[in-house]
Amino acid sequence: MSGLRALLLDTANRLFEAATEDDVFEGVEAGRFPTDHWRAIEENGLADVLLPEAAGGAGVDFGDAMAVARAAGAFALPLPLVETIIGRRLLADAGIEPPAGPLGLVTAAPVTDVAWPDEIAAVVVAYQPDGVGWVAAADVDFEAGTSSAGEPVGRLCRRPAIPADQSGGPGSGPSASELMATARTAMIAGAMERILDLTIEHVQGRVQFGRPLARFQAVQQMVAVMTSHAAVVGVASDTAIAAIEAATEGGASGAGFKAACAKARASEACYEVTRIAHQLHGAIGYTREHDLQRFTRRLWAWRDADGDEGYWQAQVGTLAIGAGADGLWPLLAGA
Amino acid sequence: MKAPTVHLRFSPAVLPEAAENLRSEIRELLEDTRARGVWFAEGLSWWGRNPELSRALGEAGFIGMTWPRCYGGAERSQLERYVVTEELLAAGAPAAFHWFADRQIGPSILRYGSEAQKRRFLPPIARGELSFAVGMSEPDSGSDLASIRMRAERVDSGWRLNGSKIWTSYAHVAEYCVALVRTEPKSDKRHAGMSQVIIDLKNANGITVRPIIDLPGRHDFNEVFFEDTFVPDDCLLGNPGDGWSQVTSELAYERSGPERFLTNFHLLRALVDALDGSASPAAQREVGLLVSRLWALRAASVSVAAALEAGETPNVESALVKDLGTNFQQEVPEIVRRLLAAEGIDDRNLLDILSQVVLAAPSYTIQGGATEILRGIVARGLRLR
Repeated sequence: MSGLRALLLDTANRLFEAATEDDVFEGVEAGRFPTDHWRAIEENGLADVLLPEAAGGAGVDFGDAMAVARAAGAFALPLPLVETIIGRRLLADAGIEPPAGPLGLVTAAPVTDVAWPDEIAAVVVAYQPDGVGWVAAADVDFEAGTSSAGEPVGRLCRRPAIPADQSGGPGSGPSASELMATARTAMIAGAMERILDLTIEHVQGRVQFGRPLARFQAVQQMVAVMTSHAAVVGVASDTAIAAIEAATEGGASGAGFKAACAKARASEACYEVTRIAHQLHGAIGYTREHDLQRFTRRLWAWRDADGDEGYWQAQVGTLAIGAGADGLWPLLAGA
Repeated sequence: MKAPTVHLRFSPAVLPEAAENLRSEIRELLEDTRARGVWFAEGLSWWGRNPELSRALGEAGFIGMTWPRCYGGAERSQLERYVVTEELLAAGAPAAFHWFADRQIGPSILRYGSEAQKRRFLPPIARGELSFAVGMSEPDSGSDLASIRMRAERVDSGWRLNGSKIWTSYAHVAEYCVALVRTEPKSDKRHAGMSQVIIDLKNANGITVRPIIDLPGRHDFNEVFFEDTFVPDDCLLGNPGDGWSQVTSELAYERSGPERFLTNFHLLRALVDALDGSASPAAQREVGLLVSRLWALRAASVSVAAALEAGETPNVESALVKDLGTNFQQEVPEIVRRLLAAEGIDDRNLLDILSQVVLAAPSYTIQGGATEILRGIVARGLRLR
C-alpha cells in the first residue's frame, strides 16, 4: 500500500468510525441526516479525492479512492459519499464546476433510488454517451421511500431535465455506470469483510452444547463457503479497479467488461454471504439490536444499486455472445 | 467499531508482459498442430492423452518451463507457465500425457530429488517423452491420505513394495509412477514414516494393473497392485520419512490451477457458439452469470499464481479456489441444460458435449481434494479448528 493510501485510509477509518456510532444510526433510521459527520468528511477532503489537483482535489489515483469506498462499506457508512466522489469527478471531467454539498448520481444502469433526496444538493445525471450534467435536487421529482438499510431514498419519477449551462460532453474514459458499478462493488467487498469478521467473532465466542460454535464441523464448512464468496468478491473488486485505473491512464482496456463482471459477481454473492451470516448468528442477528443488520441490510440495498446482478449479467452475456466462440476466451483473458 | 480484521485477501495480480507475450506463441502452436491433425478437442478437454502433441509442446519449451535449463527447462516464471496452462485448457487440448509430470512430479523431483534423478527424469519430461502417473490414494485411503498402508521394506540395495494404489490415472500407459508409501510402520505420529518412491511401471516386477472404467465410460483410472515389487535405492525421492511434507508442499500448485475452473470451458464455448444476437434477455443473463463467475475465479487463481511466484505458500487460498472453481464447473452443465430447454436450442454438437460433461461433473469436487476437505483447510486457515 502506498504511503498516501495508508494516510487516506487512516483519515477515512477515523471519520467513518465516528460517523457510525449507535446514535448516528438511530438518527438515520428516523430520517435525520448526520450533518456534522458529513461536514467533517467533506472538510477532510474525502468527497474530493478524485478531483484533479487543479480543481482542489487530492490528486490520488482511482485505486486510492476505491480504498475509501471499500472502507465506507466496511463501516456501513450511511452517507452518500461514494456517489459524491464519483459525481464530482464526472462533472470535473466534463468541465463543469461541481455544486457544493452531497450529491446523488444517476447513470445508464437502471435507476433504483437516490439516497437522501432531501439532503443532497444536486443529482448528477450521467447517461453516457449523451453527456453529463447536474440538476438541483429541489428541481427533481422524487417519490419518497426508505431503503432496506433504513436510509431515506427518492425514486426518480422521470429523467430530470438538465439546464444547458450545467451540462457538458462525456469524458473519454470509462462510463459513469461502470465507474459507479466498480465503486459499489468495492463497498460490497468492504461490507462482506466486516460481515465475515463479525461472524468469525460470533462463532468463536458463542458457546452451545458446551463448546464454541466454531468447533462444529457444520459451522466451519459454512464459514468457509462464506469466506470464499467474500474473498472472490474482494479480488473481483480489486481487479476491476485496476482495469479502470489502466483505462483512465489510456492503457489496455476491457474495463467495461471487468466492471460488469465484478458488479454481477458481487451482487450475486450478497445472497450467500447474508444467508450464512444470519444463519450462524441465530436469533440475535435477526434483531435491530445487533450490528450485523447494519451490514446485511446494506448488502441487500447495494446489490440492487447501480444495476443489479441481472442487469450486469445481461451486459456480460451480451459481450460474451457478441464475442462468439472464438472470441470468448480472449474476452475473458484480455489484459 | 474499529476497521474490521481482514481474514483472507487475494492480492490482485496482473500477468506480466512476458507472460502475455507467450499467449500468441502457444496459440499459434496449438492452431498449427490442430491444423496438421495432431489433435482434436475431445469431450473431456485436457484429460485426453496425446503423446504427439505433448512432444510438440516439449520441443517448443512449454513443458517444465519453469525448471533450470540444465534440466531441460526454460527458466520461465510461474506466471508464464500459467498462461500456457490456461491456453491449453481454453483450447481443449488433450494434455494428460505430460500434465502430472509437468504440474507436480517434475517440481517434486526438482525440489527433493538427487542430482542423478534430476538429470535422469527432468530432461525427458520436458521434451514431452516421459509420462508419469501419481500414486496417492488407496482402496481404504481416499480423503484420509495419511492412512495409506502400502509398504516399502528395506532390502539389500533397494526397497520391496507391497500394497495397492487406486485412481491412478494412466498407470496402464505411463512409464513411471511416483507413489506415497510407508517406509516405517504406523505410529502415533500420523504423518510420520511415509516416503515417495519412483516406480518404473514398464520394467519393475510384480505389478498388476486393473482398469477402472469411469462414469463417462473412459479408461483413465486404474487400480495398481504391487507384490514384492523391487525398486533400487536410487528410486527413493527425497528423504525417507519426509513423504507427507513432500506431497503436501506441492498442493497449492495442484489445487489453484486453471484446470479447476476451465475443464469444461468447451461447453461454455459451444453454448456461446449456439447462441447469437437473437438470444433472449434470459439467455444473456445466464451466459453472463457463467462468464462473470469464471472471470472472478480466474482473478483469484491468477492471484494465487503470483503468490506462488513470489515464493509464498498460499495453501488456504488454493483450497478456496479449488472449492469455488469445481463447484462452478459442476453447475455449468445444469445451467446450460436449463438454457437449452428455455431457448429451444437443438444443437447436436452442444448436446454431445453436454452429456459428456454431465457424466464427468461429479468427479470435479472429489479429485485433488474433496469439497469438505478443502473447506476444512479454509476453516483451519481462519483458526476455527
